[in-house]
Amino acid sequence: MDISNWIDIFSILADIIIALVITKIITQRLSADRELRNFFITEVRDFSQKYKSFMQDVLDGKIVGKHAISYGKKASMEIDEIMRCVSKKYGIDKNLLKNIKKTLKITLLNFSWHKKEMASENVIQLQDNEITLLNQQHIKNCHLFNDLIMLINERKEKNKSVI
Amino acid sequence: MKIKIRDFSENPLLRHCDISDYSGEEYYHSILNEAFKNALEKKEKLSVDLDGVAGYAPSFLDEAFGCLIYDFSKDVVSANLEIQSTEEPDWIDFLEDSFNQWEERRRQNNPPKVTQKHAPWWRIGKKGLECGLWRECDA
Repeated sequence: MDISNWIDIFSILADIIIALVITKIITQRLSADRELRNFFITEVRDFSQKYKSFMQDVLDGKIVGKHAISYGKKASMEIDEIMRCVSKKYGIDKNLLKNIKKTLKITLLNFSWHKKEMASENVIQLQDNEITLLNQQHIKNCHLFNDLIMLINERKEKNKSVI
Repeated sequence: MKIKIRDFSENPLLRHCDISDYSGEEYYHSILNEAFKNALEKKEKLSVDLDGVAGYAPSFLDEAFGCLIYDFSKDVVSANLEIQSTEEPDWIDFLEDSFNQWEERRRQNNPPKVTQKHAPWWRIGKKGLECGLWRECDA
């Protein structure tokens, strides 16, 4: 074999090595990206289950007033943190879950039970019209979680870092 | 000048004194009114930190800051008050809306309810700051 044959062989080997390295890097990146998306989706799903369970307990008259206030704050902070990350990472509107916070903090805490039961350890007893309103808001809110999960799946990465 | 609501209570509750302890009415009359007056006298902004409590009922915040608007006007309050919250910044937006409603109430002379006797408190009148019992106790 002359020099030109060796150059060809070296060139082919170099191409193969470069292709393997690129494939490896892309696979690793895709895998890391998928893992992160799955993490956010799990966070949203966990939160939505806790929210639905809380709302059901409110409607069933199982929640003490004081717990509703502290849950409202905790849930609001959880939403803010999830939305801060997915907004920065995928450019998703950070106000997407705003209505859930509104239901938990404004609607529920302004209902009539609030005046009588909040300061005590009694459970929340809603009136019929309040149950209807809360149910309507709750049903509207539930699709927001699915919308968010779809957006996390679909949106292209906007930033490498979420910190 | 900075005050923290958690120094008043870690569990602020409802709107009026006749339905709960640690109410918005109590907070206004025992702390916020005096603190705001002091800040005005010193020509400083009063900063109120909402963080560090178990959570808020909207009625607590509405009453506490609404009474401030009623006694000092929205213009004076907006220019001299800063509300801070890193934990629940939504309440700041909520209070912006609430301020407009209370200013309207002030214009219509629809005073806030007083459900407990309070010491004389401050307001801004035609001659400036004045102290007195400006509303009758409804209880």
